[in-house]
Amino acid sequence: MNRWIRGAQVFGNALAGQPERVPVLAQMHDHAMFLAGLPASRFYTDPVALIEVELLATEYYDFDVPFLFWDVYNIEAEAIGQKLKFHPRSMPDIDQTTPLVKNESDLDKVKLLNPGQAGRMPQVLESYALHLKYSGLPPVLQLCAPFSLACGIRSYTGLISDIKTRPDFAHELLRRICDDVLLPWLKVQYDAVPSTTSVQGADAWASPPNVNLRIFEEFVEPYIYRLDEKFANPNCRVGGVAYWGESYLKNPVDFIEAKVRVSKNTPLGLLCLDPDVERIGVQVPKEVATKHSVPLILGINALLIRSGPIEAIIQRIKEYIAQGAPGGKLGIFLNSLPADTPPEHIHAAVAAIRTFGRYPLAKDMDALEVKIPPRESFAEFVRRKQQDNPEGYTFSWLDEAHLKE
Amino acid sequence: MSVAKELRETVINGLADAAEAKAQAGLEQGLAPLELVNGSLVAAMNEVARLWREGEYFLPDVIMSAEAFKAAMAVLEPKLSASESQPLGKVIIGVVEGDMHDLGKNIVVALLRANGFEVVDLGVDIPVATFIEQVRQNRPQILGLGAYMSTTMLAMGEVVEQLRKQGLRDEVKVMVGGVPVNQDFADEIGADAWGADALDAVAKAKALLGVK
Repeated sequence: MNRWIRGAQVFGNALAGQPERVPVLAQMHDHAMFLAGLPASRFYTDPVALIEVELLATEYYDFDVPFLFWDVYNIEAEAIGQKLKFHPRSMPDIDQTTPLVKNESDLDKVKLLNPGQAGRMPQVLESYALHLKYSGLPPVLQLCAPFSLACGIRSYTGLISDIKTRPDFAHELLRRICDDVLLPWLKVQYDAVPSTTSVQGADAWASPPNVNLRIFEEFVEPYIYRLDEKFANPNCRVGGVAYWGESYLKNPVDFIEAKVRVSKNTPLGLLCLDPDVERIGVQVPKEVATKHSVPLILGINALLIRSGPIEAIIQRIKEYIAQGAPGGKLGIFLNSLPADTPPEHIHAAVAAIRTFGRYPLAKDMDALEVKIPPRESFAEFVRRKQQDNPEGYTFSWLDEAHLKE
Repeated sequence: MSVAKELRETVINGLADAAEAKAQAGLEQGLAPLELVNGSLVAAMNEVARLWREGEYFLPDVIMSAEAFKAAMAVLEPKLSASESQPLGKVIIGVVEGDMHDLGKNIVVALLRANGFEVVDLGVDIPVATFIEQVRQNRPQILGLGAYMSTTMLAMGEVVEQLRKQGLRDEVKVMVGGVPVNQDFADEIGADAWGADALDAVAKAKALLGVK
């Protein structure tokens, strides 16, 4: 069994409530790019570079499963004509100063004419194929969720103004995004990877304080459900992810409950991230997850992982595991790892998760000592992988790489 | 209800067209422009800030109020005398190169203006050299830098470094803000202040200039 299948098994068992340990995964595209010393212009346009570097970084840090969640907010927008900016040092970004939909007559632009062929869609499909080939794991399909895509092509302020002053227009925009852009793209994606079982609609824009609960219930939730209903695939369900911001509500549980509803079809279950968890505590999301019998994934503050110190990182992980792990169904997520995060901080985080997250859980976690073994540099790791390469990586991107020694 | 009170209410409720009309009506009734600005508009934005802090208002409400403030201000500002429109200080602000996210910066700009600052908004995707040139030309008291991504935030350090190299660092206070930025990062690059959110940014800007 290769390390990827084994990792997926550990992950799946843990989230199903039969854990041997608390699994860890990370969103780290910018950090992986930084480790490899690749320009963004290469990393975000070359599927081989993207997938090989992400998988190598996942193995380097000993994360249990890969989590390929890169510029998911840009693909569909670019494909229907939204202007993007490409920059050598950072992820492509929607030019929010020039939205595609400026007025009512622009609604007709909200249509995907060449599903799978437009913009960088072919690269996404190739990325899925490479992911499957190298790891043996079908990737979770990625979409930009309707509300977030509306923010991308209409601008957030434009959409909010529509919601407040002409809600029918906002609903029409969201309906077209679902039916004329996302569904055709979703079908092409599924045809490319029919073994996949889940579609994640990335929807960070639809989080408090960007939205309140009323806006969420009227303009966010129904369109996630619409996608799932219209896709109508019992083997592959659609859900929304990347919501945050429950700590902005007077009663955080209201939004956490909403997150459970829209995320129920995704493998991650209930995802709650710092700084919200820092503010409201682990027990609040833990109780909701337990009530609904869904997995709980806790995200550790990316700025803490970047800035350290290591003792504070270890302490945070100990607290979260001590409170979240009893009863199983817990995972730890290192979300949006900043590009220049020191690798030793990430190694320490993983060592802490391995130490405190082993089942049966220690009765006294304070008595456990986190041992951080000496690690090779990413450059040394890549050189070793070139000698022992069961995945069959091409390493073709090394021509532009400046690996971190 | 008096026109002044109605103007305040329209801003709190985020009604831009009504705010513009009420500002015009106030002038036609002979009310002093400065009184309308301070008694209605600034008071309204302070109330919006209170509602935000207490979790009653969300970002959409703040944005709509800021738009209403802007619409009313466009009517009143030309009527203020030179002495009445004396700003608290000048701020140059922009999002660093490679980053197109303007939402947070726009809210900071709106609240700074609502609090009496003159703001030069450079927009998004601003190269280091442009920030330096703008500081040299406009001589602001504060330079505000925003970033949304952990890759682009690194350019903030380059701006501070260039200010130093070009002998401008002591002439301007540098504030930073944005999702990936925190106090540790601000300290690391030698910025003078970090704004946790738009309200905090306004408070820190006032503190940097010694204004209550």
